[in-house]
Parts: sequence; structure tokens; C-alpha cells
Amino acid sequence: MDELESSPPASPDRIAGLVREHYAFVWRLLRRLGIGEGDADDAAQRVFLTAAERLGGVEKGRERAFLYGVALNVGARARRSVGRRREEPFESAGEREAPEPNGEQLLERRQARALLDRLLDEMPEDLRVVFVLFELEELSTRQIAELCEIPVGTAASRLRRARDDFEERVARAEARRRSTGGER
Amino acid sequence: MTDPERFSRRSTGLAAELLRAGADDQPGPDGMQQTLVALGFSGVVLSSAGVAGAASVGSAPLTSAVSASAATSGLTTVGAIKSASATLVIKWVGIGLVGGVGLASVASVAARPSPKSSAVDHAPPSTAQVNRAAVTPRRPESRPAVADSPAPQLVASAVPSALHAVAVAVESRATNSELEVGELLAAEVAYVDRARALLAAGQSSQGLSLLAGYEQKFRGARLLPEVLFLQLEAYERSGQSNEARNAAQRLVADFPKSPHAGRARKLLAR
Repeated sequence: MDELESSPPASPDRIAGLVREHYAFVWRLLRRLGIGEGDADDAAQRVFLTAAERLGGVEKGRERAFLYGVALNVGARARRSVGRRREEPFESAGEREAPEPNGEQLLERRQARALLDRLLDEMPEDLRVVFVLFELEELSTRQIAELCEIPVGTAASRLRRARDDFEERVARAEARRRSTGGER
Repeated sequence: MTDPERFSRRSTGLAAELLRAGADDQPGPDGMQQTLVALGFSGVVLSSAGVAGAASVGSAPLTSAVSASAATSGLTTVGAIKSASATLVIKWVGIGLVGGVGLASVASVAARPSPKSSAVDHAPPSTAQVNRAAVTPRRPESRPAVADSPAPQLVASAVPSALHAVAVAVESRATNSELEVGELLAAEVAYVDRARALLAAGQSSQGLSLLAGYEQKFRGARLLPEVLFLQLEAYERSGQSNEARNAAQRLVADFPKSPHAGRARKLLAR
């Protein structure tokens, strides 16, 4: 890290490119790692401000892994300091998203995300990270291992446990939904 | 090693439904734009179609109008952005920029005939076109007075019409009235963009003349690192090495953490 801190500044084009290319990835990662929607933009901004200071020392092609590390730190700090403001499915619906297909579908999607976040919140952190990267960001096990700096075998085993864990939680949520007549 | 099939690829089931919803989740456009502004880039997230729209419709959304002036700015003083408070101040300034430019451009556009579309109006901005505007966190709270000295004559062909309209409107207000910080920053961005456009069009002397008048015109001079960098580049290109070195020295001395300071140091080391 010292090496990065004393690294030369990155070019403005590279910094702007970094934001454009990876903003959605960072934002989504922060969201699924427990940052509330209202805080995700601020947290993402913090990630890029931090990243911009050190980007000069990051090898080309390694930006995503680097951002991932910064995002994990920023996310953990944000969760510790603010705590998660859990959103109810109806909260600010339609404030940010354009009225896409129709209101009902949008609402359903928001409800699905709220439930997803709840289930992810309950997962152990190490499993959750691997699960989010594989299932939502569609990284391969190998890429996840690289990003998390763990052996591929460890990544694969965490993923296996994470998927089992998630399926169990989904099954329980589904059973609860049935028992309460469709409520999520 | 073969990865398992992702849950989201399954055709049915709650897990697939939840994960598809999660994967579809996208940030709004404001977040990325504000991050770019906080980093000293003044935007270019919105499509340039929005520029044409803002230029021809008086009631166009403010965010579209922003892209008109923001479309050619950029550059950063990231190195100086260290603390959370600095971040918040800069973010605030950025929001002010958005509001200020939006209001100014909507007002100016409503009073003008629709400018003709130019190639720039329709071409999406490329990375190379991402121009820069530094936000200097050293003096974010200052509300500098604006000098009344007229800007050097602008060669109209050097600046896209929509941008020109915004720049003129904002600057004329800047010289005539009390402005909010955001509006003033917008005026500075527009001013520096005019200089940049002139330099890019090969009209070095006019561009440099604008840059030379920048500090006098905007006493807060929040885009000074970028102005010094543009001067450095322009002087270098025109073979005026002493002037280039002067700009480099000032950049390194006053803004050592600016992303441009590295280039300036290199020049000085030669």
C-alpha cells in the first residue's frame, strides 16, 4: 500500500475512464454488500475519490480488482459508521428509476431486491462476498479468487457453501411467503 | 474447474427471480455525474442529445442543460481531495454547478433562437473529448468577486454553438451581477472551455490570451491547476519553453498533488 500511496498520480483520462467503466459495478457491489440505496452514491463516490489518489500505482488491467478492494473497505466502514438503513419495498419507489415496463413490475422488482438484500444481510460476510461476485457480477471462480486474493479451491468451496446457504434461506422465505399469503 | 450454473439462469424459482432483480439494479445517472464533478470532471454522463434538446427547448430539464457546458470539461485535483469534509464541500460545489449552469443555460436558451446543430451536438463524447475542469479544494468556500475586464474576442467557429450559448450567457451574468458559488464555478468552467476549444482549434494565441486573463477575471481561480496545465501544454506545443517551465513551476509549487503535477515535474526535470 505504501507503494501505491507514493505512486505518481494517474492521468485524468484514466480516472474519468475508471469512473465511467466501473461506477455501476462498484455501486451494485456496495448495494449488495449492505449499503442502503440512499447511501450507495456517497459510498461509491468515496470509493472513486480514494481510488483516484492511488490509481497511478495500479497496473493497467488491474483496476477492477483494485476498485473491489477499495469498495470492500469503504463498504465496511460505511456499514460500521452509519449502519444500514434498510429500505422497505415501497420506500421512494420510482424516485430514482425511470418508469420502465410498468409500475407493477417495478414494484415487484423493488420488493425482490429488498428481499434479496435481507437474505444477503443474513449470510456470513465471506460467503456473501463470493456469492455476490459470482451470482450478480457473474465473475468466474478464478476471477473471484484473484480479486479476493484467495486460492481458487477456497473460492470454489466458499461459493458452494454460499449457494447452499442462499438456497436454504430462499426456501425459508418462500415458505414464509406462502404461509402469510404472498407477503415477502 | 467448471463453475456451477448460476441461479439467475434458471428459468423459474424465487432464487432466480431475486438474483435477476439484483443484477438489474443500476445506479441513477446523478451518482456517476456527481462523482465525476467531485473528482474535478464536470460531467459528460448524459448523452449529447440532451445538449441539443436543452438548446432548443426553453423548458428542458436542468440536467440536460448541464451537459451542454459540462461536455467539455474535466481534469482533477484528486490528490488534494483527502478528507471527507473536502469531499462534501466539493460535492456541494458540484451540485451548485449543476444548478447554476442549468438555470443559466435554460434562461439563455429561452431567449435565443435555436442554435443550429453541429457535429458535436450529435457525436457522443469520446474519451479524448473528455475535457477537464479542476475543482480546487483549497478555496472552495471563497466567493470571489468577478472582475469586469472583457474577455478576449472569441472565435465563434472554435466552440460548438450550444456550448457557446451557455458560456456567453453565464459569463455575461458573471460580470454583471452577484453570483452564487455554483454559478460562478459554471462561469469559470465555461471560460476555461472556451480557451481549450480555441487551443484545440489551433488558435493558440487567442486561447493563451484567455488563459492569461483567467486569474484576473475570476479572483477565486478555482480552476487554476487546469489553467496552468493548459498553459504548460500550449506553450510547449508552440515551442515557448520558458513560459512552459514557468507554468510547470507554478503548478508544482502551488498544486503539488494535482494529477498534472507529475507532467509538470517531468518537464522541469528535462
